[in-house]
Amino acid sequence: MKSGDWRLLKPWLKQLGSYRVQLILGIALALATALFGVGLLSLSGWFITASALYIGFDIYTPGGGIRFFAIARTVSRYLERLLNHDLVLKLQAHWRVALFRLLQKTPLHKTLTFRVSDTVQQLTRNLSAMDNLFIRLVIPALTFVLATMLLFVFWWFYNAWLSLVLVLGATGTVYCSWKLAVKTRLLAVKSLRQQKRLRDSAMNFTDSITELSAWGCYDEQSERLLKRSQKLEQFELAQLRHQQKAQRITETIAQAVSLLVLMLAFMQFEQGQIGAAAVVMLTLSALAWQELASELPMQWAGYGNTLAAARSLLATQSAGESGGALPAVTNSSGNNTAITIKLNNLMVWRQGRPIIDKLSVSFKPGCVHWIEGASGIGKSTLAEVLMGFYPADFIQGEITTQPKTDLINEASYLTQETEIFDASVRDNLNPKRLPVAENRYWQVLEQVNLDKKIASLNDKLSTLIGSHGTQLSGGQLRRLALARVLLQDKPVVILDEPFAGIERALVKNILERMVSQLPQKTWIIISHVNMEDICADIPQGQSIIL
Amino acid sequence: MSVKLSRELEAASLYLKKLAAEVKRPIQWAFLFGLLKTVAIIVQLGCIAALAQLVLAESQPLLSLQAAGGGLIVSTFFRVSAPYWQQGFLQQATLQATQTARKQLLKRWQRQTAQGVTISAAEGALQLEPIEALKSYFNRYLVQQYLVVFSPFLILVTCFYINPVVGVLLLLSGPVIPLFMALVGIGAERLSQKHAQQTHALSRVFTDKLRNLATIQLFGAGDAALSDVAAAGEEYRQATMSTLKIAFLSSAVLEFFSSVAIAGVALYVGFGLLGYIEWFGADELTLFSGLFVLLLAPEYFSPLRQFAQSYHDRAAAIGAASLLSEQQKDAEDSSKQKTENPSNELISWQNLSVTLTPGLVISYPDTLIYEGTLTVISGSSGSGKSTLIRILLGQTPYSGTLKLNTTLASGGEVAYFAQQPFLTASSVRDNVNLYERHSDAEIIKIFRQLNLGPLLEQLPQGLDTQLGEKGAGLSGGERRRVALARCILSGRRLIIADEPTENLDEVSANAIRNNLKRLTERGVTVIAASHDPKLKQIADQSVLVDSARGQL
Repeated sequence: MKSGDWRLLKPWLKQLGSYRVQLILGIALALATALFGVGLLSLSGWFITASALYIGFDIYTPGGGIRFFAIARTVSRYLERLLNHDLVLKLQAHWRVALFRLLQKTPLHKTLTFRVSDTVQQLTRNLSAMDNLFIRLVIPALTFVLATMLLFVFWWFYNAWLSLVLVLGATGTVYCSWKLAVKTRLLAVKSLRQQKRLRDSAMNFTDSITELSAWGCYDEQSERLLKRSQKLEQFELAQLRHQQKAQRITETIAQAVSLLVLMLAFMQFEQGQIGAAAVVMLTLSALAWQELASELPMQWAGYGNTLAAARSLLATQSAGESGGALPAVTNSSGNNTAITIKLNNLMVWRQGRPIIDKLSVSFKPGCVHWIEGASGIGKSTLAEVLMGFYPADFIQGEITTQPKTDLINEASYLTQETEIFDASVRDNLNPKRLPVAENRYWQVLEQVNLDKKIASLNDKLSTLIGSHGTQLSGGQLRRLALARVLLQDKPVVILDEPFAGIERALVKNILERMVSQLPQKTWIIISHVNMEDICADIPQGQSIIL
Repeated sequence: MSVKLSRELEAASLYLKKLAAEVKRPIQWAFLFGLLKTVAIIVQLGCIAALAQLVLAESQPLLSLQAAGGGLIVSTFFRVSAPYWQQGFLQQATLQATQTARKQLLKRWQRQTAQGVTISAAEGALQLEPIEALKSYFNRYLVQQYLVVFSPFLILVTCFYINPVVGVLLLLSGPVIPLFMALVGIGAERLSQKHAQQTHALSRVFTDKLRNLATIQLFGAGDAALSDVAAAGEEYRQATMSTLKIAFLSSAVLEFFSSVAIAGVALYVGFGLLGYIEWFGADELTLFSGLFVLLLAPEYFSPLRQFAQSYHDRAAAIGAASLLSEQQKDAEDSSKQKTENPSNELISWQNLSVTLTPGLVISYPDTLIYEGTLTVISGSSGSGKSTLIRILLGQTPYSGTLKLNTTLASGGEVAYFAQQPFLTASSVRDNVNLYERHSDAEIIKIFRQLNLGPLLEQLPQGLDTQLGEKGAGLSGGERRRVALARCILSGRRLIIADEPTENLDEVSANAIRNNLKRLTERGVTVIAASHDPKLKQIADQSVLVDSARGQL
């Protein structure tokens, strides 16, 4: 158990190493704050007792010390908090980008089956949970241990028994906090899992509100959502209860330490071993120490959550890393190249089903190749295979190109599902943000017959579209996605159901315009629509029925 | 802009006030136990000071001081137990408040949908983070805001009784601190509201990039996406740090004044005991009184300190509340007129139009639809077909008259077939049974009717096969037909479809068209927005939404 925990937390703790100076400074400030607090109270108690009972002692040093402790404590606390929070936020930012970069390496066919809501939770919630590792676990524990050690030495000078009581008390506190941490591990995992389920349900719910309302199932589905949330609350409640029990025990221990110190110090006084002022000073320092101790369980209650967050983030990491080589999309060899693709006895498997069975075909430049067939995954799979996004283990047969090249650089692919970003029209057309002349944008928009519509919008190309921007119809969004592909200007163009939601006359129009304006390209169009129904005046190549 | 901000703040505070009112009772109990703790502390510290006086100053033997010793132990017990008892009530309050907040959010979404507002998937996250942020408000702040006044008051009274000068010192420093903190805190509140928006915006950026991850990969737009993510993260860090700088500053003020006050007490008492100060009862100080007020001083500021920590909770809760509450827009009166119609007339509309944005109006031709007919609404893409569908579903306000026959006006009789149907990451069976349960036999029968037989045979676990998010694992055409199977299986008497035959091969599309026609022969009414010419051919009626009419 312990080694497993360490394995999970190590990469995060290691990351702290890159900020060594800030880290040490932060810990030093935290320790200083604790010590100044103890010092202020103890010295004040000493001073008052001395003033009451002693005659003729140096009043200026303690006076100055008290003033110093008062101000220094404030300053060090403020700086410590700023420093440590800033450190944590920096770590967070670093990890967020690192994880996202890993996710981008996921193989395409896995991307299309992504559980989006899961990943969103991981990246936001779990990363925030990792803050606790530093601020609520490492810092308070280190501060407590170091402060206790210093206090131990200090008390030793007066009475070894006091130090012994301190050690026992500190050990009890640490043990209690650790037991609490362990108990919360399992609960935290359950809680996190339930959070995931709740987020899943909630995002699915809002995604389908139109349908739910239309079907009159809103209240029923609301109830299900509420039940999920109630279960989550219960897990969190159980965690809280454990925490409070631990806090109660720790408080008791700490108070017991104070009372024992008081008693022992008084006994020593009665035996004439220490002065009255020292008694008060020791008692008050015990009271101040008690404040440090009672904080510990509260902070360590978050251990389980932190561990669970680290575990699920590790899972994301491995998912991304296992993706292996996603071929990098480099630039194409030039948009005037004409490419021929030959498939010979191609067989492709997916989830145990033979999706493509002994396919032989030749795709020629300047022609439109229609791929029809019964609705199934075969056609999209063919596109993935041609693009080189499909794992080679499940492919048999030959794919050759002339001139010899990597299709991933030379082919552009329009996915079956329209994907639109919450961004401007321009950024949607050019997600890579390559430098592109404005008239190029208008050129492709004109090819898909969207130029007038976009020109009519207030901000034209800069208009924000997507779920938080101007609403375009399904057909318009589809055409925008098509324009995005055309803008890439690659020799091979693979379109998967490009004309969904667009009426026949417009389809014919767009098709003819596209093919006549871009005669060198090899067009591969996957569509349910019967080619004859469109009657487009375009040069046709070999078509396939899957 | 500032008017809008202050209106939002008002709405947010009102939201919190209403929620707080619901949990008044448990909070009151929590308050009482908080007071009990303070009393216990006063007694405990008094006993310690008394023991010091008796043993150190008057040299009485320790073991004879049973009263003080006993008092010390008993008060310590209550000091430790009272917070524990208090927590029980606070948890009760928090649970109640969060459940209420969730229910209110659900109702709000329902309201917004009826007003024609689109709710994105990312808004589902509102059930998570903002409501989490509310918890610490109810767990800590709500009771602290009362204890912060009454606990120090008890201590102040005790101090005055012991020594008026110290009492005055504490009294003066008391209110000054919250004043300064309030000044600083107002700024923190505004910042924190922006901060809550930032967290939500950060989550939206992620959702957006992840939903479109395939496009990012295909277009090599990884770096651009990464920089967007990094930028959003950096904005988040800066927003958080600016909030924290001020939030921490306000607590630094507290620390400063309280430390200085403690030092002040120590020095005053010390010099008083030494005889350097003689005014206002300084000469009456003893070890007991001096030590007692010294010990009480930090406890005077402790509630303030706790309150300061939880003040950030309030700022966070306000930020969350601004996301959860919403300014009530005046809902347009789009009540459907319900008529008792003896004839077979099911739906009709006259002078129907809708204003999408100021200056963009779509008008629809007057239409009458009879029961058991197939009506196709056609028009060029973007002409307003989908909007008309939403009007019929009661999810977009309109002007004009829309009449619905009463037998169908009550909910539960409309089957909606969306353009991008909703499917979840669960089994095929669960997806078909999403709204209503059907037997496997029924499902299989309808699947075959829709030409999904080959799919059934190829699925590795049959109906138990798990699908991914958005129904991934099936092709686009298969997903559409699964959703249509839902509609047909429901047996509902009105089916409203948005592009039902789009994206299907001819054989399946034919099956759909035939099935829809067959349903109308059984008395089911079908209204479909579609530009499929073959569907128009077999329709009983065709309504053209002419884009030239609207100002698109």
